[in-house]
Amino acid sequence: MRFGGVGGGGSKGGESINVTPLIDVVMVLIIFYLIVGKLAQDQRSQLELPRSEQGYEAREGDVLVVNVLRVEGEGAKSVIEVDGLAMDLAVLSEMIRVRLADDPVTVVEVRADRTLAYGRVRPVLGACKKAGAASIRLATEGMP
Amino acid sequence: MSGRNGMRTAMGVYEAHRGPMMTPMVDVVMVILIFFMASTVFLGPEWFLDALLPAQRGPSVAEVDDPFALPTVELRVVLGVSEDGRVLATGAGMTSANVRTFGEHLIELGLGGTDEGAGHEAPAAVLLIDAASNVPYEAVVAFVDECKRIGVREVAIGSE
Repeated sequence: MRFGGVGGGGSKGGESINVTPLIDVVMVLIIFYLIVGKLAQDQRSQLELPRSEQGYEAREGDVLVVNVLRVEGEGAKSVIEVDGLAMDLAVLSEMIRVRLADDPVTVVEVRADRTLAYGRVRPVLGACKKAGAASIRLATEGMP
Repeated sequence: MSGRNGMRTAMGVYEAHRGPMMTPMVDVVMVILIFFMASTVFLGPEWFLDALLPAQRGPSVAEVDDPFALPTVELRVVLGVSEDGRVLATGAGMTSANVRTFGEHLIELGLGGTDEGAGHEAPAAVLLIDAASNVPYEAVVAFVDECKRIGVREVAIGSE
């Protein structure tokens, strides 16, 4: 078997394999796995953020992302996630306290589902305050 | 088009019967399409709004630097939901006002942002926003957004 160029029938058998589609498929697979790997590492859970017009886009420094996800079902419950791990308020508060002790300039970013009631988000803000956070950053969906 | 042995090559077949090869172009277009789709996923328009947590607020920079600086104005506003489902704001002399009206009221109070024409800068003011538990989180964020739009310097959000 010989791998040659397009239609390059230079071999005695007159048969050659066009490797261009093979390379294309491999490239697509590489890109696919890169994307999947990146999404798996991402701290940001997929949720519907509230919209804003005045937010800023900067995302620098040490950030602790707290996701507040809506759980479909009775009572529109919510679940708190950090780095993909669900946790309760006590654990969240302790985690923030430890992070702030290590790095006082850590920014706490709250990403809450826009369909939640404020009563579901307020305890998360309370946990941030209890842990010593002076301010938070609310994640929104930009409307340029 | 024929090869040396009189055999037709693949390229010859394409050129003779189907015109130019479209496969590489389609492949490249697909890769470009996937690239831009992936870029959209990673660079989605995620914006941020800063908010203070009330009990932690210390003196402003102006108060620390200048002992004669006027104290920061603090206003409290409470958001609630009316019987017909509208989100209304109460505070700073307003009762059950919608978000836009409340924003205009804050501008009338002189708490709005820089007036470019008059060279006027907003005084240091903190707006403490609290909301009933049944107020949609989106409405709270929209109110914070409105405060930022009109130029309120610092917005604090209730957490208790």
